[in-house]
Amino acid sequence: MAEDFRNCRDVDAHLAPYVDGEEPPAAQDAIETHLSACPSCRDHADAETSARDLVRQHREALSAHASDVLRARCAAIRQSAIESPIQQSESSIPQSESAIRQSESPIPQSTIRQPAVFSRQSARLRQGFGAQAIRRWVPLSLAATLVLAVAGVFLFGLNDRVEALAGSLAIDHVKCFKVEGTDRHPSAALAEEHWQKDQGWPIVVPETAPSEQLKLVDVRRCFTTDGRSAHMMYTWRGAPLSLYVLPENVGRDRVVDKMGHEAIIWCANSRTYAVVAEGHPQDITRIVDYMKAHAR
Amino acid sequence: MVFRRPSGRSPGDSTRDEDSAFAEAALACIDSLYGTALRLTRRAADAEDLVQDTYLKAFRSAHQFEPGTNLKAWLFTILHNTFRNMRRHDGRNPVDVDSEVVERAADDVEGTQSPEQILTGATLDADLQAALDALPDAFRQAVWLRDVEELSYAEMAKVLDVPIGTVMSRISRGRRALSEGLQARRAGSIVGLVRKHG
Repeated sequence: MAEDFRNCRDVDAHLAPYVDGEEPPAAQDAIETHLSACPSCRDHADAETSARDLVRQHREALSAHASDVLRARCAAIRQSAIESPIQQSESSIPQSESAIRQSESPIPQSTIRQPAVFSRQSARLRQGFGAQAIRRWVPLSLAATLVLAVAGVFLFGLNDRVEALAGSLAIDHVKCFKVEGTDRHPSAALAEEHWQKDQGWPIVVPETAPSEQLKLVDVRRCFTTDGRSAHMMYTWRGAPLSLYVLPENVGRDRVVDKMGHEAIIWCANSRTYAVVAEGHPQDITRIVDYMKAHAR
Repeated sequence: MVFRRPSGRSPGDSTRDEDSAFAEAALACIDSLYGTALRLTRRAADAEDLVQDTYLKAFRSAHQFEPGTNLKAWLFTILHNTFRNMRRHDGRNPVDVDSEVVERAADDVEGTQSPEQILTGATLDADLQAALDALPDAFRQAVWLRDVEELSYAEMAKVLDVPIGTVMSRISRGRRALSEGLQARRAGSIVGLVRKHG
């Protein structure tokens, strides 16, 4: 036995297994002997025993239950994963003891390593999912996801940061509309309030504007850009249009054509804005001007 | 729970039945995963995202699971790794679990009541929930995985990616801090009562 449990430090390091009754009998006895002579360690052991018993007695009450919606979504994930398993290894997957040790160094995963589809938090989550929404998750085919992932890797290989940003926003735009659809019409004021509360910085969400044929569909957090930017989803003239706001200034205004989408990027104060939509730049100018005026 | 692939097949012979059995065994852990995610993120929406991400990765990497080992612990490991990555991407600091200040924090609060006095009355679930939530992340995770999810020290070491000695120390400190937190909570409510009634 390495420790003889005469000093408090040795005993302290073994209190958890002692309290759990997992020490070998000899050690259990030696610790017991120390505790009977040391009020301070005895107090610690008693406190730990009481807390342990209390938590275990209340295990059921402390446990949480996954909602039916979450169950349905996870079952749907299972279906799509079984149809096309990805054999690549990820840093989150425990492979072996040594692999786990290696992962102690922070391995930054590629920003769009995963379809952020399943890891997005939207205002809608708090409002509750309808059955219709569940159905929308299911048909998201893995093939489309793979195309996006490959495109993402390609785009992130580019040196130009703004170019890469435009690429990732175009991907996010396509993906979000595919998953979300366009049949919701939340309140802009409420979305602003939620955003400020959850993310800690303010955004201005341009409201639905019939005169511009602009309709607000949703406001979400965009994980594609490190989870820091706001993604405001609209339909404009009936087609998907996205407005992104990043809480930083990338320092360059640009118009980039990516995957058949225009990404118009501009900076103001300490923010970067981007409008992503399909169409010719000249057609989009009007709505971009509108967004510039209203999204400040 | 220990999940075993059906025997009698060569290791590489993965069939639909096996996949389906694996998926069902994994999905049966959803309450545990969600409860643990909730303790990590403290917000239902974030916890749901985390659980979905965990399943996505688990199902895609099912072939990496070692049959005969604890499936729930494997899923917890993915969940914790995913959580750490999420934190990094959020621009927030990953949980500062190794800070010595945190490890020592539990020692700084000296109690005046005996643990029995503290705990016999503190049976309210809400009190316990609140005291648990008030623990430093590292302690809360340790107490949760051990006393609610009943993982072994070795399994916890893998999930939390720390040595077993650290696991034991965190469980010990976490339990002690929980006991002291409950005591403070009770003392606070007594002070509140005295104030209220003069």
